[in-house]
Amino acid sequence: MRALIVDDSPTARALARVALEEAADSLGLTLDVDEADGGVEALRMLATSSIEVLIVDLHMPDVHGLEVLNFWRRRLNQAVGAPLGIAVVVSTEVSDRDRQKAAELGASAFVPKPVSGPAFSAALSALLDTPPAGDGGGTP
Amino acid sequence: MSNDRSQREFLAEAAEIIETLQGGLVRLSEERRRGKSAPGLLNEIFRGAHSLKGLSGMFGADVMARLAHQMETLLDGMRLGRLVINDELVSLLYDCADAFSGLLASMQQSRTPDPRIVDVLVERIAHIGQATVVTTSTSELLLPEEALSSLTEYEEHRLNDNRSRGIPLYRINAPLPMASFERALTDITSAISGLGELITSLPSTDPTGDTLIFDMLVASTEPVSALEEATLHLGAKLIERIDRATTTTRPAPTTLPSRVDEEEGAPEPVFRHFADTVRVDIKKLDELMGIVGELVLARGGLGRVTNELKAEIGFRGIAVDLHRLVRTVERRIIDLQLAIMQVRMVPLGQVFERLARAVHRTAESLDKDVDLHVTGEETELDKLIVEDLVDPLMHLVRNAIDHGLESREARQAAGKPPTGRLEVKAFPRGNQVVIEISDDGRGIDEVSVKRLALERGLVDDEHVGQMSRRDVWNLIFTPGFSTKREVTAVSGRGVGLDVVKTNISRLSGLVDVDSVHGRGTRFTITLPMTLAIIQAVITKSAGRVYALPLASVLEMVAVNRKDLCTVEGREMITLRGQTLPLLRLDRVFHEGAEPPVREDEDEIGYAAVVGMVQHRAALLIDDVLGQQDIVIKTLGAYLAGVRGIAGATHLGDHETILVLDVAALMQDLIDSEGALSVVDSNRPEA
Repeated sequence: MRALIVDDSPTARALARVALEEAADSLGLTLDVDEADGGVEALRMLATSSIEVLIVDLHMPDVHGLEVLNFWRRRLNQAVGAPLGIAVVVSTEVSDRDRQKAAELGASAFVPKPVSGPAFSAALSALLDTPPAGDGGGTP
Repeated sequence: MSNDRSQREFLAEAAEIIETLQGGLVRLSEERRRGKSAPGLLNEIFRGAHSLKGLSGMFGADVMARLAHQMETLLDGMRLGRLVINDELVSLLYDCADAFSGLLASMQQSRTPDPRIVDVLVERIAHIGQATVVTTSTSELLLPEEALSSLTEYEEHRLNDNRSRGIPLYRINAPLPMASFERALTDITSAISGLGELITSLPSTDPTGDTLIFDMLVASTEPVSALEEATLHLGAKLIERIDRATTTTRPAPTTLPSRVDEEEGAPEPVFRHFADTVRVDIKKLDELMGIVGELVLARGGLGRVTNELKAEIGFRGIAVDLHRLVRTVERRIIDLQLAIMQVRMVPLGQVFERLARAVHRTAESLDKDVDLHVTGEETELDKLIVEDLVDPLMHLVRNAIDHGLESREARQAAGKPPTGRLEVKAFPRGNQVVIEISDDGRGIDEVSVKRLALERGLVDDEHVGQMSRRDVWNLIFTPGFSTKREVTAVSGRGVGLDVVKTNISRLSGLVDVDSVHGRGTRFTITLPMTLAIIQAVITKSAGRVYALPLASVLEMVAVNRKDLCTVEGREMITLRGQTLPLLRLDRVFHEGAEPPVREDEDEIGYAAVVGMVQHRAALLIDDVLGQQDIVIKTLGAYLAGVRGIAGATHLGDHETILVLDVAALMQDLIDSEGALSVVDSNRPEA
């Protein structure tokens, strides 16, 4: 499986990678983890390669995390509210409204910063029991 | 990541965020001065606080996280229109930003940050209540449901806010080719931001996947034709109005403490730089520079072999070819050197932004009006130099406002405009960068400086009468010259200027002061552009070869025996009527070897007039062997403590020589004879 971590903070990306790899190990998943340093780079990667797990921060200077999610959802031709491949929104607390929007846009879990391996594996394992709807991983 | 390293990266990233945040605040103040609100800017500052909160939370920097959290809440209220920006709020934001700098500094020094300053700020923030704003729905906008579904609370607020003020809203649709959409997106967003507020860019793909489609929502008072002209040639295809053009309902103003800033299509910061930069540890660049140094050496060896080959019968043709190749390699090495140096260079603009902030705050706290004119922000300096330059520049700027510029009343009485003028100017000069800080304040009063220096025992009666004006001004750099109280009343200058001097000299820089009493003062700082590679004069002194950094050398003159004299047991040299203390390296380094005796000759060698900050001295050298770029290598721990030696360098041909540390030599000289380094030339020889 391919995972993409989107965050404009290099430190946050590094920590998310450690946590995600730890989570994947504990679940016995093989994850190929990629990073994007902002919304724009994420758009390119989501548009040009198939990503199955998306870890995305909300507040980024170029394109907001919600728009990245929406872009992915539309790219997978899914309806509002349908779960995406596996999309985990990572952020320090945000308004309830933005959080609710993220859920509507198909985010499967909300993991508060600072992220940890156990928090990710909880999010991932819950999702693995219920395979995602749609084509699940974007077009190759 | 190892702990140490991740800690370093955390600090680096935090420093970057804090700097951006502070820069944003300065720009916010500027916009406000022009009577504009800057929603995009506010959002950018908000994001800074938000990132800092997340980052410090990740690293358990709790004190910083707590403040960042409070500041974020405050900014969130401001950007969502729940709080109206006023001077008090901006001032509070500045204080928060300053507190971050302080916290960061203590963490950089591995000290536990003092939480008290944060307590005070948190308390202040808690006192600011936030009004609630009734959010109206964006569903009235002519936009597909799908586009609306990803709007953030902030974006909705911006749409509504613009609509309620009757500012037309547009959707600009731009299908951009996948291959190059990043560049096109930057171009379009910057074109739009000149014409109005870009609220968001909603991305989607077309079914083929070759195109990324952006729907940009823009608020602008410009005519549609202007938007079209700016964006169509960049790839935009469709521009349509999305608010109902008939919107007339202005909601009643909410009960907010002061007026809402009006804004008419203020230029907005665009999408900030995309992923085209990397952060590199400066040590890695030093390593690169070291390798280049080795290459230079290898080239020297090649040149020698080439010359030897030339002498061999039958190899002349090859030797000529080889020589040509060596020249090519040499040119490439120079290019490489320059390129690496270029990487280390950062524009002074960053520092100047911080200066602007300091000016703003100092002027405010002293209740003075100051007009700051900054030029040369684009002038570049080595990153390491820039970092160490912040403190001295801050000091000089604060000093200029505090002690240089007079009060409004005093200025008017002196026939000057009530607003003081402060100029910060940077420009390159050869291999050096010059920074001038000048004010049109009261200038330095020579008489008062002399009196004070006498009182403090820095000069004696005999000398003070013979000092030139420049020497008198330079007294203000002497440690112990003044205390705050006295200098404010007397000379208007001098608070801790010795600290400025020390900092600048540590960067191999010079500082000079020029003043006209009643008209103003100018400080001129001259710095080498980089510390990594320096130009040096290769000299022979007392039988040894040394590299003398060119940045410290003011001039080289041939010296005749008759130019020498002795004043109070100290050897001096007379140069165009000025007397300078003479430095002999063999004596400085306590070498036993006697200098070559040239009793019969008049010409005894050369003097390199060297300067450190305001001091000048003449370094006696036997011979000048040449001039070249050198890479300074630090000496091992064993020799690192030797005063007067900055390091070593290779000259090629496996010859290693010592590089002189002029600043240290001068310092020792000054220490050994007190503050007085220049004696009048008319004194008879002792």
